[in-house]
Amino acid sequence: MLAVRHLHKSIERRPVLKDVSFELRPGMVAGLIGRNGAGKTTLLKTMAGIYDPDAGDVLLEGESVHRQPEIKREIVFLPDNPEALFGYTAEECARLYALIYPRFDRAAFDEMIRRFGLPANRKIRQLSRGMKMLASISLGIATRASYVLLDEPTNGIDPIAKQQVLTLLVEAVSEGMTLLIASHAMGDLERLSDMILMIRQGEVETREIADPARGEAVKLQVVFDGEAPAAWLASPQVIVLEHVGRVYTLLVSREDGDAKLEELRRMRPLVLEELPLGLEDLFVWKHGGRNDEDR
Amino acid sequence: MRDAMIRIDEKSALPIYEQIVHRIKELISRGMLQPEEKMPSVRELAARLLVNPNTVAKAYQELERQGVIVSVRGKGVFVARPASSPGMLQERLSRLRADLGRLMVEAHHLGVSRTQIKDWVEEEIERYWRDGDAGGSSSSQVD
Repeated sequence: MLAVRHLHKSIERRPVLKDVSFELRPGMVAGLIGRNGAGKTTLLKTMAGIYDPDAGDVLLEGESVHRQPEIKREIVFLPDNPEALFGYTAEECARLYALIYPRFDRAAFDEMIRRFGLPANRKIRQLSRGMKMLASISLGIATRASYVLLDEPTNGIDPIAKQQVLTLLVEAVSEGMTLLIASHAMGDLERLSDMILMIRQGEVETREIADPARGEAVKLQVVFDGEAPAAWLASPQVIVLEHVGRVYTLLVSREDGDAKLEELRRMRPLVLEELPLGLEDLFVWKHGGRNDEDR
Repeated sequence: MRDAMIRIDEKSALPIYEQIVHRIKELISRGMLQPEEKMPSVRELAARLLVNPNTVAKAYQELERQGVIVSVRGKGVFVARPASSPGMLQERLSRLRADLGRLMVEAHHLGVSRTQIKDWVEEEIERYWRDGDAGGSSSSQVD
């Protein structure tokens, strides 16, 4: 188990992580979501031991990543742009990684680069964005480290490269690796994750993918009978996700009870239908609608 | 490839594991997966659908619990023979009957006409009972 305990981290005097605690169980896939600048990369780098925390710790089977550097071999961080590899060829990267990671699986790496047609003897810098990402993830998976932390693995790559990346990730989970994936691709996370970590204002909340809203909010499609009730729609428990013609798509928070839903039912809308509440809805709801800024 | 016919609909109200359960039952009903036929492994299906292997494993557990598939240690997962789990069969049949009732209530509430609903049911019958008999053995029919 990888346990994050009361982690605090400031970057340029701005507190980015404030008392963050959670655990990754072996074999699971966790998705990390949050606004740009919310601290996703800082969290991943602190977990991987690249940043030292101001307070708190990251423990692998009870041993501190920050006090025992050899533990870092079990936790691989894959950045959104693998700049550290740019000056090397895939072949050179593989030899370098084999020196660092004791279980580095050269045969598996060769198979992956052959499968994706990655040129072994060109510098990583010269590859397309998708190929760079595939090279970086292939290396990360071939380390056979227990935990792989990925920063936006599917961001900015074409649909075919994206499928290849997702294939690699699914295969890694089948091999028993544990993944933490920071991403804005909510659909990908819905397919891949067991659990969601949401980072907001320096704090991290944990949710199960099967029930991300935990019944704390409902998503509704509503057509009002006559004029739409402006005051009700403006109440803090209600978020208008979409408004097309007479059809409103709404999120209604139930955190303060069901009073708002009761009021809605009493208005006798022509249509009142519950919709499945997905990860994107959760994200919008938790960030207080579409106009909120983090920081 | 038959398992390529399982598709995940991201807009569906059903969770992914339930979609997999449903689609596999559908493939069996339509004869695209035959009794005692070998199923793709959890790993293979996860890689083809690009979903979390834990989710596929959960779907397989549910299918096994319902007697739709059986796993044989060391050999893999197979489509079950229809009557291999009679107790589960009764439970599924009574649940199916109740589901049909709920669908009718919904249809009636939406103002679907008697002819329309009959046409729809007939359409589905055409799809699955082409040879005039159910896909399973005689034991899977209601008395």
